[in-house]
Amino acid sequence: MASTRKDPVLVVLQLSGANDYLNTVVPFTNPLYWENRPNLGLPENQLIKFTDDLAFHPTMGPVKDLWDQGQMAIIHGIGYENSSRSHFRSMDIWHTCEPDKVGTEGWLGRVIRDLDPTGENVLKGVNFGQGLPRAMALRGVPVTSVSDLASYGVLTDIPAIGGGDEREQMLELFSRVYSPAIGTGMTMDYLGQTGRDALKGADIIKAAPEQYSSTIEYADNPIAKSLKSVAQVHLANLGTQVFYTQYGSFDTHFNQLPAHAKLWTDVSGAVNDFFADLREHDASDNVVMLVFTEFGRRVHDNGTGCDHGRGGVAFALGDAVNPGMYGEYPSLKAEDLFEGDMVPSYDFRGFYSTFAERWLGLDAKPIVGGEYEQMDFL
Amino acid sequence: MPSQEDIALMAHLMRRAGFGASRAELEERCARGYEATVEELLNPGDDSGIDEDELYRYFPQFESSLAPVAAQTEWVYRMVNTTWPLKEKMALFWHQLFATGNSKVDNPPELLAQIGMFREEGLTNFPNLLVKLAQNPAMIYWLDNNGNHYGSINENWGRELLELFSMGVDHYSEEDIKEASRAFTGWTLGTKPPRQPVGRFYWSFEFKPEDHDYGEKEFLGHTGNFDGADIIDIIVKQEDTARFLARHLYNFFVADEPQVPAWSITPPNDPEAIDTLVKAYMDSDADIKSILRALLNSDFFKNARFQHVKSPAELVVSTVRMAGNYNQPRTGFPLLAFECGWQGQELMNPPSVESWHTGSEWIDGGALVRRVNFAAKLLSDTSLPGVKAIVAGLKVRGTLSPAEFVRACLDLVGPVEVDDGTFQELFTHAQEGGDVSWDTEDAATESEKRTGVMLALIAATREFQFA
Amino acid sequence: MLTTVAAGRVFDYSHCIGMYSTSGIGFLVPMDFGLGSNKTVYVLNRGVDEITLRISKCTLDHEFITDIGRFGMGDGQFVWPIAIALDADENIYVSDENTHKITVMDEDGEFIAKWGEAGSGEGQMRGPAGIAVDGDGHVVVADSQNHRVQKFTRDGQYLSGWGSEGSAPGQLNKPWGLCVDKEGSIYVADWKNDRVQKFSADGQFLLEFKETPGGVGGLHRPTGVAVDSDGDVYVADWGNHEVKIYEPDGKFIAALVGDAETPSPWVQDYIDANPDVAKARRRTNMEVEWRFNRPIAVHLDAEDRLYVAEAVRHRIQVYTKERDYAEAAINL
Repeated sequence: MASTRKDPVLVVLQLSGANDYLNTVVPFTNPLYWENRPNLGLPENQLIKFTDDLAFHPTMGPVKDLWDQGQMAIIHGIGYENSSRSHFRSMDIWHTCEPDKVGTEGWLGRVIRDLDPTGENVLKGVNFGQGLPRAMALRGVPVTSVSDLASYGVLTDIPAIGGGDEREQMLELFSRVYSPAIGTGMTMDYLGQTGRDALKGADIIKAAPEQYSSTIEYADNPIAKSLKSVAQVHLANLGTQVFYTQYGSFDTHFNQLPAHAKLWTDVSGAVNDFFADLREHDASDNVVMLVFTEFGRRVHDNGTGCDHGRGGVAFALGDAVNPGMYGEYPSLKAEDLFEGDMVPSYDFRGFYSTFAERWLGLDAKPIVGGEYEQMDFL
Repeated sequence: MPSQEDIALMAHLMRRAGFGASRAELEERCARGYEATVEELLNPGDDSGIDEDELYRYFPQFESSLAPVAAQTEWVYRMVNTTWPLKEKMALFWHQLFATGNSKVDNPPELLAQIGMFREEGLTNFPNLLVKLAQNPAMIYWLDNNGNHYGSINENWGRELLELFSMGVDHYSEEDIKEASRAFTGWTLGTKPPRQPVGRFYWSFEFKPEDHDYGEKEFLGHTGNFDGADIIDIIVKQEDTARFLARHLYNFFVADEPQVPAWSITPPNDPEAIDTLVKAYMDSDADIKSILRALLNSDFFKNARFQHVKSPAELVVSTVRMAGNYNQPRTGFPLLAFECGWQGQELMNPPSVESWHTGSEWIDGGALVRRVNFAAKLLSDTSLPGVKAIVAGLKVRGTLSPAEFVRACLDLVGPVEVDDGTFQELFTHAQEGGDVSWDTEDAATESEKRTGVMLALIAATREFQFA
Repeated sequence: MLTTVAAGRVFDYSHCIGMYSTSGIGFLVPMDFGLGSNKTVYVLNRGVDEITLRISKCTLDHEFITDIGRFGMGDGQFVWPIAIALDADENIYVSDENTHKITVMDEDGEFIAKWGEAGSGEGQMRGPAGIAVDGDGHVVVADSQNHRVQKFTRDGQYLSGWGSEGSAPGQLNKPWGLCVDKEGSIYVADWKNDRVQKFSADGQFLLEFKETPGGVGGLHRPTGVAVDSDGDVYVADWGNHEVKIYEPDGKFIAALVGDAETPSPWVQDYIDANPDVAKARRRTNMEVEWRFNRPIAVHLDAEDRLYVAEAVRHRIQVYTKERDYAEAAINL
């Protein structure tokens, strides 16, 4: 399928482990915030205030820059009814859009299928990380999963096989032993095709870092590395329209203050560098980023951390985003909480639908399994 | 010395009924004979090969962690080091059949306890196993039987028991599902302290008489005041159940079948084989050992070499068993567990109750690259004990021509059977280095290196993906 | 029972310290601990992965001080740390079963030295486990996979050693924890022989602690041992989830089963912050939480208070030994 760099591109960043809403977008004028966070309340003089009563976590300066540049939408109170407090279950629900049963198809798998119905481009969807997130899993939809762009490929990182010519020779041999042979059966044919495709895909994607140059110096942490890889593949113009990556663990039951600060230092810096990198290459206007987590955390802290809750915050970032705040910050009043948790008011499937329909131009209904309220951030 | 054919057949048996065996073990088993080996696999001694106290001494996290990786790692450790290969393989079989996932259960220790139950009960008889399954806490939670109440049934367990765990679609009515569900009301979970903040506690099965429907039920043409065990008794006497289980066993042990959803419209690859297994089931009152004995001693099994794509767990475990570098407590086991997941089989977290799709569906581009790289890296490392043994096995054969070298490597790493095209490529590669000699120290060093490369190439072939 | 009365002694449950936690306050798979001055305690946490391994330095009053050490092969890093001991200056000694080394750090966790060489020769070690500092400041190590005990100077010079694989008196099988009494005698948890052996300071076999007449006092895979000022011997009976107490001559006195009925303050904070957890605790029998689960290390302080660490419960239970206990009226 012909692709141009100007096809819309969606980058999904998953904050794994449940990011603490209250300490990410802090309602610092609300006395209930301070009452519920005797140990985790962030020092008010360090908060990065962006409205009269809301502030970012002190480490989110680079995110605030994006806000100031009008490239950020904040979606308050996102979640789903009867929110699960299990990471695994809740993440599964976010990935499959199936809150009532165990689903097998990922919503982005359906997105990729609809973007490339014939499955021609194995790089239409690219995940950076080990294994494939369920969000991208859909039978028959090829998706590429790259744990490390630098060492991606067949027969890499094998000391017995030297580099250069020796490895090239091996790959040629590999390609030949995977070529079609008559009468060996369907499974062997399928394996042959898959092996040769994998070799081809690796060749293509490995070229991306070689073509790349940038003045942006990403920090040395996994999320910066992943987003740099996203930038490299995007700039190589390989037709990728869905990127996926994740960072964590945001599961800050204990010792949250330093842990959460480190996480947001890394994420804020990486996200800002990523967009700066794209802008430097004049390649940012067709990219939006979706940032989500599986649920928010308990309103009241537990001494040094806080526990699993409901109702979180999500972000949309990018040139094309209509900046501002959407939805409502859930009430912190005791009588409005459910077992100590904020109650979400906006269904995440509406959030997804907005991206699918208004950004990627797809029919959102079959992708998220129904019709949900979209918002005007796109 | 056993014949080449005996070795090849024994290797086949050990790949399928276990997780592969070294050449030394194959030769030893050949000396005892094929049928004796089948009996030994079905009735292993008391020693599992795992000292439970040592296990938890060196891996205290297996008892303490709440994270999935600890449970997965413990199971991988057992698969790699078991001397009960068939028991452990049956645990994997039942896990793939009675697929229960952490994505919902969110309780890895409890899932591991379910695997332990499969290990203990997996070679008994099918009705016993189904009762244990119905009372297994992870299963109760997974299929919502804790929400199946007198007067307000939840059909999830009742439906999957019939559809996915015993009879298969089309062999019962919706009414049967409802009646079965009534019979399992009151089969629920006991209370327990929450796992946080002092660590794990196990669920327990609890029967609540006050929540059980004692009324009369009509199920598959039988009428009575049935409870869950009665329902299972009726189910296991159905030939449809025998046929369904037979096809699962065939797909897992013999040769890849179409995927389960296609079974109602696609006949088995080998209907006679299925009939043989059905007969063994009916004749033995669903005794699992009897069915497996019939299967493993059959010609259709013996003739099915390399007709089964290795699952990720099979590939990972059999490769490290071959390499011999994980045969005692050490660091690195969690990576083996992760590797299964990265190749598409996250243990104790199947995609749904319909389990993983198997056969060629294990393979996609990413999974294939991982499989190839994982196996090639290990088998090319001539410092590992199992690879050293292969090198030693080559050495005793003296100087080898390139063709002999390729054949010997294929033999000692399996035996692996490859098609002519593949052999030709390996041979062409070997030819560039000429004869393989061990006469001088330099020659031996070079030959050892060439062996590592050759084993990497074999691990990278299509044929290596099959068991 | 919160109070155990046996053979003229009374052991009274006092309180507990700890909770499950991956960093900061709380512990994760505690293997051993050392009692320092000013109510300081150093808890050696194996953790459940490379991130959660650490030594928690905190106080017996539940004040978290700092985390020390982390996973790795470098200085001040550990792979499979298993035991910890303090010397008179409160320097920390940690044995590592995987690297076969002893690491020495100061009380703030600053790395001082690392010694030990893998092997079975004199002064070499394979799987060093239990570790203790004797009255001379010498370091006694259970050289577990060599089935022996070795004594070193604090900087690792070999002094002496004894034991060989076997089950006869004086022989050992994968010994784990050990301690030194005020006479300098050494008690070794002879793990795979299901007993504790007492040796003189120069390694002469003196006595063993195991099942006594009446079929009581049997041990299964004991991991830790401590001796109080009266000479009573406390054994972490890891495999039976109990702490066994013996008289100095080896007679079995009593078994403690764990009594943590009142949660630690850290645990209580957690419960208070989680209404669903509080609810779940109210609707079930909590006894299983009070009981020992893998008691793995025992130590005593100067007042003969007994501290028991549990690997699976991530806490330390504290018992006092009452000397002025007034018997209650029997007919209540």
